[in-house]
Amino acid sequence: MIAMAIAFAVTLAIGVPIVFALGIAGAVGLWALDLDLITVPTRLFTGMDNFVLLAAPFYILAGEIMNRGGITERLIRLAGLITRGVPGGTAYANVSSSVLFAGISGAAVADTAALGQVFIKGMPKEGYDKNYAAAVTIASSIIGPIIPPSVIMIIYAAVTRLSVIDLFVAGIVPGLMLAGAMWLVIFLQARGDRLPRSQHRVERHEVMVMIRDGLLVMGLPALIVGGTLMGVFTATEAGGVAVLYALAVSWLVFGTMNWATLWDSLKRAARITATIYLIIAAATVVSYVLTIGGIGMMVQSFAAQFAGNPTLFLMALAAVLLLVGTFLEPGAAIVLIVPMLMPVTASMGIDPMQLGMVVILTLTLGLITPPVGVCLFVACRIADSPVMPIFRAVLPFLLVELGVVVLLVLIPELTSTLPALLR
Amino acid sequence: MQGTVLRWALILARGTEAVAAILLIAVIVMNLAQVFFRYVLVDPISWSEETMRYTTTWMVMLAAAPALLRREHMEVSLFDGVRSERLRKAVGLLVHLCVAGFCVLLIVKGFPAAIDNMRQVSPAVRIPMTIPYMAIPVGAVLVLINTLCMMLLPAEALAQFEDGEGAP
Repeated sequence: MIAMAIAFAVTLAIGVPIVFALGIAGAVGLWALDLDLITVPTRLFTGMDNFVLLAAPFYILAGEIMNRGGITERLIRLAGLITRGVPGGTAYANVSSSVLFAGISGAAVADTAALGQVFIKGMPKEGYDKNYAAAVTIASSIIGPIIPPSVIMIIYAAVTRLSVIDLFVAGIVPGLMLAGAMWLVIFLQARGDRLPRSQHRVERHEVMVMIRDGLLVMGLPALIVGGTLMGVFTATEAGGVAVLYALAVSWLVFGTMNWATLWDSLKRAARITATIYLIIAAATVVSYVLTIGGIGMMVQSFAAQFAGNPTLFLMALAAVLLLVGTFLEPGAAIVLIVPMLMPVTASMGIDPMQLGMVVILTLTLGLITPPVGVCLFVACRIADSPVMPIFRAVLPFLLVELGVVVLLVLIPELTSTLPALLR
Repeated sequence: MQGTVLRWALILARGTEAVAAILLIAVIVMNLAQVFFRYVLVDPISWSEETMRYTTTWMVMLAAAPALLRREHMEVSLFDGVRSERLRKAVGLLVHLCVAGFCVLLIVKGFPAAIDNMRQVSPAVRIPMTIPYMAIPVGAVLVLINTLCMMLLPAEALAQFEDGEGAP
């Protein structure tokens, strides 16, 4: 197992894509345990062969279609409608856009890439610091995988056999809390006109169109969650419906889609799905080695120290996962860690939804921190700026987001009430 | 010579990408058909779930290679900022070798794994399990070809592939 960890660390550090680093680590681990390497392809296959996971490509494609269909700009205009007059207006709008965008996309990176093109390039023109613009964008991008739909939650459901829709619903409150926390930071930073006001004008006749567009976009998450809760379709089938809806809205209503863009969306969705699926599959190989290597016992003895105190356990877990999340991709981390946690936390009486949200949120925070922060890297590329100044501007936001994690740990009702209510 | 190799590499990558996109369409159609058959025709189809799973596996393995060519697989880039060009190139070569090595493992072990499952048939559609299992070694062959191209051909030439599609 130590050989496996070393193999993973070395290959990852020299820049081998995470999928292959995991795969190589898994192979090294099997070899060290003297097991047949035929397990690598067969585990890879079983890791991908999962009906729950099948929902992921649909939501990826739906997001891709909405994104190319000019929806991003519409969302941003709508988000700026209310806050445009106050200091820091566009910064607020950046966060609101992430909330709206979260309803169509399931991944933080998609959020950073799409909104970053507009905000990281646009905010400096209004007088914001470039690094600050990037920081607000990536700090709010992690709302994407918390508010439904969410690819990470689909992975979580695939691993734990929890219901996808319950997880989706459980994410609504934490997602809004994140947005609220970020608005608070911007409010404090903007006091006394220290942040610029928005400059764009909105004509009266535009407002109705913007609200109509906004409602159409918000219809997508409502359709997914509503339809699945009422039992009309499964979460995977809802993904297919989401694709149809996205196509209908962007083609018929907005008129921004054509065959060429659709074809590009399909190809890109296939590639993105491949990268995510393969990470899950490769992590399954490593997970197999960990299981055989007896890591489950280690986790249980670790947890035994917290026997009477589930809150303290969750807090310790959150700290460990924050560390893990800084260098491991969330999907892979879930495949590796969550199966070991489930029996332990169940015996402690921790609500599975609470556990799910704490795990997902803490791992997602790793996307915006070095050394491995995909969102951070995307923002660096868009802003053409090095990592550290952007990360420094992220820090206040990261701090309040950690505050949200603490609240989720302390108050189980924040995550457990809504799914139980709607079930 | 180099030009010919490049042309064929790009044709191969574009081709597999197109097939992957078509498989994605097939999965979506099956998914919607599943809902349609259950509600409208009240005659649920039994084979769609299994077929969707295996189709997706093939889609993933086919799309892996073009994603590699576009550098869309997530990676840590600690060495991108290194000044010495020779060191950067050496590390890059090492990375390609690691990827290639893993592909060779998947090919060497994957084909026998697929062929061993010849007699086993899938529960719903009753096709030999060799067909879905074959996606792994075939995908590995494609990734290996692309990795070799990335090692041998100049990066600027391969960048053409990325230009083929508008940014989102």
